Amino acid sequence: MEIVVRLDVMLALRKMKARDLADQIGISEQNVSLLRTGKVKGIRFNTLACICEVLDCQPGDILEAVPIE
Amino acid sequence: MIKSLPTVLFFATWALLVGAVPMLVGLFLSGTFEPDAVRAAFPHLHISQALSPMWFAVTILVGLVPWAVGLWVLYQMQALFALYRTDRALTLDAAHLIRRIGTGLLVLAITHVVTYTLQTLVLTSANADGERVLSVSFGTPQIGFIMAAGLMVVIGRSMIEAAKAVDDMRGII
Repeated sequence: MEIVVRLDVMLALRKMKARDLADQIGISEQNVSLLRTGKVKGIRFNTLACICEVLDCQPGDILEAVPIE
Repeated sequence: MIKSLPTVLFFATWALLVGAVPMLVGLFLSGTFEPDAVRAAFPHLHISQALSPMWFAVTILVGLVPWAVGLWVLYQMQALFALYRTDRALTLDAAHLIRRIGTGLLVLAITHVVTYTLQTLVLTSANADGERVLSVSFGTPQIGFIMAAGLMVVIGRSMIEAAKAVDDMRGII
């Protein structure tokens, strides 16, 4: 299994720009971009909590475990 | 001050590295490596007049080994200070350099003891039976040097772990 980040989907559903999310959760736009593309080793619980709060969602809406092809 | 210190040390190490060659040439030209000068450097040893110049040359070459190790350590130091100058102190490269410097200093301490032993052996090799000397000089300075070098190796190892942890943390948002 691998973890896939579905942040793009949630941002589209909430009609929010990555820049606005970055401003609201207090991380750089570059880091949000890395997170969206899944080019990160991990995500801190407090970052995840901030994203969930801003996007009004659950961690499972942002992260998904999928089988490795 | 903290920022400029690595720069000062970087140029100081380079000055020592560059200065080592003319210093060696100067020592050579001033006759420091002549047989008489070598005899004077070992006043407590009875060195036979029959000892050939070749063995004096061997003694000098053996004596240059710590120099070579010292220069190698200095070269590693300038590389470390170069990293510190560019704010790359907590990187794997810096950690490996610290460990390498510690190992170099350890080798330097050992070569100091070994070269002195070899030099006494070579210089007295032409002496009559019963007058040959094998002298091992090991005192508080050597112990202090080895302890400091060992400490640097341990710090280097810890730094490698720390740098790996920092690398891991960099990928976590």
